[in-house]
Amino acid sequence: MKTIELNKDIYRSEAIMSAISGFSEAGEFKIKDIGKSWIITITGEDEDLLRDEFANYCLGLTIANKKN
Amino acid sequence: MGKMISTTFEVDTKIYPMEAIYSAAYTFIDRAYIYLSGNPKGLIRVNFKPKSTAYNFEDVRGEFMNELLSCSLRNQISEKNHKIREYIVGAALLGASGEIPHLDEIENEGSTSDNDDEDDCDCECECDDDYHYDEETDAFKPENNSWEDDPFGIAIPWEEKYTAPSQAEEKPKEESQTRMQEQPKNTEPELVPGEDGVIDVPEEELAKYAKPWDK
Repeated sequence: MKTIELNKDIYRSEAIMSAISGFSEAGEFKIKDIGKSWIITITGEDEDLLRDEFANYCLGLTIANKKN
Repeated sequence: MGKMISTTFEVDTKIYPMEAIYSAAYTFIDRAYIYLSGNPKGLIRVNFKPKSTAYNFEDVRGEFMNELLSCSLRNQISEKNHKIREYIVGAALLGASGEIPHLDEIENEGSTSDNDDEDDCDCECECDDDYHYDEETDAFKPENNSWEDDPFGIAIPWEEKYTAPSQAEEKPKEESQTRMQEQPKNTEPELVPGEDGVIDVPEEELAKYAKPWDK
């Protein structure tokens, strides 16, 4: 089980939700709101890789949303 | 596959704006895992982990910092040129629509900009060589109306251009239309098939289509 904290001021909430939806088949994601950030708990096979890919995907979606 | 080395460094958003950090991160998103944290109004922590060992870690990190600088400069230039860029696009669209900006609009544009040189100008019409102020219409008009002229006669209709003036006067349109109506109708015999479906074409009619060697 791995956790990642995504700042709400850096990562858009829509992007995080969309990323969870996209990665739902690759692993199990649990999301928790702690005010300024989202805490995402990831459970799966290769959790390190899954966490890195998930963070990248969230960042990519956030930037794409900002550009639009 | 060995474990990838990751590094974390801080970026000051007062030096590199957040937009530049995003742009630089987006450029490297295919080569590295990038995780951003910290305060967007202060220091941003960038966790940088190359995806492949094929990339030299220090080189990629250096490239990222260079890209960051490039993006921040591009962002700065973009913000500076924002107004002029909008003006150029607006002028191009206005030019394409054939409308000339009204005096009030131009004055309003000038009042919003910080250009103080316009106040020193004594005249109203000689500020711009391409336009002059027309008091009757209360609008700017192009100094050189060459676009309204037709030096090569492109706008002249074909009939007027290639018909002699005397002929054109003698043959008004109504007359030519009546002549068209008075033209003889088709006098060719109507070919009707007989009961057996065979059409009997008269020899006179066939003679019209005869080739020279048939005669």
